[in-house]
Amino acid sequence: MDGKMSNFKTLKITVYQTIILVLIAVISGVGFNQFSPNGLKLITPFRRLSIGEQHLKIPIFLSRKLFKPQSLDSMPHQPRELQLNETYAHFQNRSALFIDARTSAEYKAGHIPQAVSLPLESFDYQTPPLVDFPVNQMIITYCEGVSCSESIDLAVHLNEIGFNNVFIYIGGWEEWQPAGYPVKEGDQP
Amino acid sequence: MNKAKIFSAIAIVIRLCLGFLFLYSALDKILYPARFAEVIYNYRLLPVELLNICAIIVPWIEITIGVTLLLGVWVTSSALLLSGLTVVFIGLLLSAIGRGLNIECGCFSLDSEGSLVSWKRIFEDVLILIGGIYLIWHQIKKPARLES
Repeated sequence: MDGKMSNFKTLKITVYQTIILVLIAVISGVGFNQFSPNGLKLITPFRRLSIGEQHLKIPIFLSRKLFKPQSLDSMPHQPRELQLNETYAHFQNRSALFIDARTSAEYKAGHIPQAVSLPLESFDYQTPPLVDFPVNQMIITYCEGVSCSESIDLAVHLNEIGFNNVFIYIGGWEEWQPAGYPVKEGDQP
Repeated sequence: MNKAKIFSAIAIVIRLCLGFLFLYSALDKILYPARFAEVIYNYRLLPVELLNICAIIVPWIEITIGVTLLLGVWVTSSALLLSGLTVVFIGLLLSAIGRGLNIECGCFSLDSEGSLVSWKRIFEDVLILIGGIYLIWHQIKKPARLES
């Protein structure tokens, strides 16, 4: 009986100590965040974006210092959705810059000719891409297909750094390739 | 050297290794919280609103675990927290692999290409979990006494 009591007491103490450890972590984290130059807002600010049927919340990953309330305003010239036929028309007319938001390996395995590879994970606000292009350059982003979100995220990022004529080809590679339109392999556009 | 001493020696080695590992894992995340919040976002599991608070607190849980393990204070509780956290990490990795996500793991550091979600990462986490469970087992096996 004594052994059981002592086990129960030990378990109770362990649980209390675990809760205290979590509390210490929460207090230290929030405290450090308040004073850190890279500190974040506690609740992630986000912007709403509607692409076709999808209603998205796009988080804004900026430190408290860089974040301005106007970043929350709806995006001017927010990215819009393109269908296969419209995308192909722009491809034929060479009227847009195609951007493949998938990984380099996926791009290499096959992509839309003319498309430049810009994997989403390589996007960096400190060294923004496409600086040689005018802000009204028409840009079409795509990724694997309707279930991927890299094209949407990349379009939002490009919009955030100033591009105001950005489109998302939602059907992506999974729709383009079976449609029998031109494709290209390798790491060149 | 008797058996108990060997088990104790193993426990000390595991405790120090895991302590250093958790401190190291937390560094990048504390220095660049916005990058870590983005890594969590890519898992597409948490509501957008909670990304920042998660990115702020999780590294400090790792720090707390690291410091207590290194100092040998409240080892059972710390190992319990470590094991719980690692189980959550394994769940996140499995869910990302299951959904075919090709994303940065955010496990030990925040270098994008080097640490993508993979079975190797799950294997590493399982080793960490085994370490955590060993520590709990070793503490419980000790002659019944209250921890300091």
